[in-house]
Amino acid sequence: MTRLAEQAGGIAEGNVPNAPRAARRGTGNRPLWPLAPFAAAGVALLALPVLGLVVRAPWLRMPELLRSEGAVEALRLSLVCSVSATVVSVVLGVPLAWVLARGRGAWVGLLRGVVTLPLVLPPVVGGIALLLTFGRNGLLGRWLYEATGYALPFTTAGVVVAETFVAMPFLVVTVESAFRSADAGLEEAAATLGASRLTALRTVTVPLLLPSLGAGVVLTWARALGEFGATITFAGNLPGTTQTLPLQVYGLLESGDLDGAVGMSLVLVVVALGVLLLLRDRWLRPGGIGGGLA
Amino acid sequence: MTLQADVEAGRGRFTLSARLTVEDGEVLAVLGPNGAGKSTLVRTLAGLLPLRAGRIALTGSAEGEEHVLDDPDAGVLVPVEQRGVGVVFQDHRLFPHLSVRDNVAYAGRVAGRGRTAARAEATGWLARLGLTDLADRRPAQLSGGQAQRVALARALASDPRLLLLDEPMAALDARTRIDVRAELKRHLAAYDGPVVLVTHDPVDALVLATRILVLEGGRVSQEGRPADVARRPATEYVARLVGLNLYPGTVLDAAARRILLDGGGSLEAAGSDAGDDGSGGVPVLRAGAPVLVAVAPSAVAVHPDRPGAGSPRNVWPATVAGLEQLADRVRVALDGAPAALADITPRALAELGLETGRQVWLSVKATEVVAYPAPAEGPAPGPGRGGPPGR
Repeated sequence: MTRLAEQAGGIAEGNVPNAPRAARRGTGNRPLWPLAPFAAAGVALLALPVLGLVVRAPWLRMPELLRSEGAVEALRLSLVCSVSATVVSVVLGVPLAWVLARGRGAWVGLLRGVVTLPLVLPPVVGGIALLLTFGRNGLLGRWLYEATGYALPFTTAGVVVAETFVAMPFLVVTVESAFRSADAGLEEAAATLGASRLTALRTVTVPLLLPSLGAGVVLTWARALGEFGATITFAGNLPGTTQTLPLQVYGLLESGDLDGAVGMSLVLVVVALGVLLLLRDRWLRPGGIGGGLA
Repeated sequence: MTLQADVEAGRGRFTLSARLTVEDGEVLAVLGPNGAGKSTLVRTLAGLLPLRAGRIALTGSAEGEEHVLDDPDAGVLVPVEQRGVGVVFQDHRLFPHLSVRDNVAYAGRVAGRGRTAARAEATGWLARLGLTDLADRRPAQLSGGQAQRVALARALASDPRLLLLDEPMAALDARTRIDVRAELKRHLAAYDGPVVLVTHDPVDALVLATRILVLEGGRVSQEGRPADVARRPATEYVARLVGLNLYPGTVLDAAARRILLDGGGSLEAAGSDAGDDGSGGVPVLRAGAPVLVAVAPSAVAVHPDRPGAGSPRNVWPATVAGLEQLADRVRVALDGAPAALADITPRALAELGLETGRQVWLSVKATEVVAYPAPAEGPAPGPGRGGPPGR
């Protein structure tokens, strides 16, 4: 957080006339005065709402709010579902990333488009798409329901599917770029030293991949934890079964319990800060997020 | 071990066709321009690219000891990791997440030795290659020359039966290259198996190799000892690399030793360079025989006017086509019949007042004109222009 603050502060400091000479050498570093107010407004827009939340938070009632049955239930469900969705994303997403990174031909581009579509698709649309596919009358869901009497929507498994749908592309994109930078030449070198393909993968490629995989996992988990649109559309809002933390926040707000909504929101803010802390080396440096995602 | 390779391989429409034998302790330099098939050759030997046809085998000194690595006809293809072929790649390909020591210990670890044993072994190799101080560094913290040495140590530590070096100097700057080359020569001498060194730098080939094989367009265009290749280039490409004017021609008059050059003009050759090529006293120059004629640029004298009756037997007019500063000389490209490169001192350049387009006369003593039989096979040398400036 401190480094983020430094970066934000840096923009304002650029206005000081006698800033260190080194920072002002070259056109690239010279502050462009007319841009400063816009940048400052941008910072305000992003930072003030979070500040407002913290200021408005019912700090004294927090222990009581967190211990309430609904909160505990939603927290537990959120953790179970987001962790499950992350595991599924890793199991399916890492091989998928490998195919995208090492595949050749026009179909790879098409596949990448399909895989990354959920990144830009509004989650509520994703939820409807899931419903039409896996719902009791859906494309696949009907067949599943007729065969087993089981339907995904409005179940905890449905929440996991919705969260995976929305979050997995983050993992795929992050890991694919890592696969790309871990070039096949190193595996060849390992082979000439006597390593089988599997050994080369285990001793060379995977270790090189780990930092990116870690970042992808954290990012995917955070996205799954915060998932709202697809979940409420596909899995509904059933306390104890499909009501995750974001859904509960929404429910509390709807029912007029502002304190409860803010309290639960704070929990999610803390989690978000934790994620930021974990990924600080990747994100809180110039060009960081682009490097992580592209 | 002796490497015996009869290689027919390719990617797409490119086909490499080469036959080579490398004995224990020999360093075969494979020299050729970009796209000649050098990398394809290395990849087939390493097992990274299967042969289309042919055979690659390592034979031992013991009776009948032979390890076939690749033989499409027999259905044999030993995978890379079981070949025991050490490779030093052009881009080094060190494992970025491992220290220098662990890079060198990698082969031992993969072979199933414990961490301690493999590291101890690696430490020995590091000492031998003067890398002890760098043992704990990561590859990203190494200079180009250091990385190259680590790559060599890593390949040698795998106890290879055959060592392949793919453009090992290409990633180094000119200054480093000189140091690394001298060191590499020492380390290659200490390795007792066959070595194949791929390069496009003639100096690497001349300094490091015991034998040179020239690849052009996927075919072997010349093979021989470095001294022979340097003195009697078989193709325009080699001539340019070793800095000789080369002219294909036909013997016009064996007695007068006059050779009609394919590209125009004629030259008289006093020495037919029987040399030590084993041809003994057999006259090389028979009338009508196709020959190659080599003339060193330093043997070509440049005159402002037609020289009077002097000893040089070869005198002809030419036009200055270009000037290039070499280390301590100026190389003059000249159009004429034949065209030629001439090396003169900067002082001579100033005194002659040479500039592009200037008419001059050239002379070469017949004793400086070396004629030898044109190779029966391989690509024909380029048209009779003596190599224009190489770069």
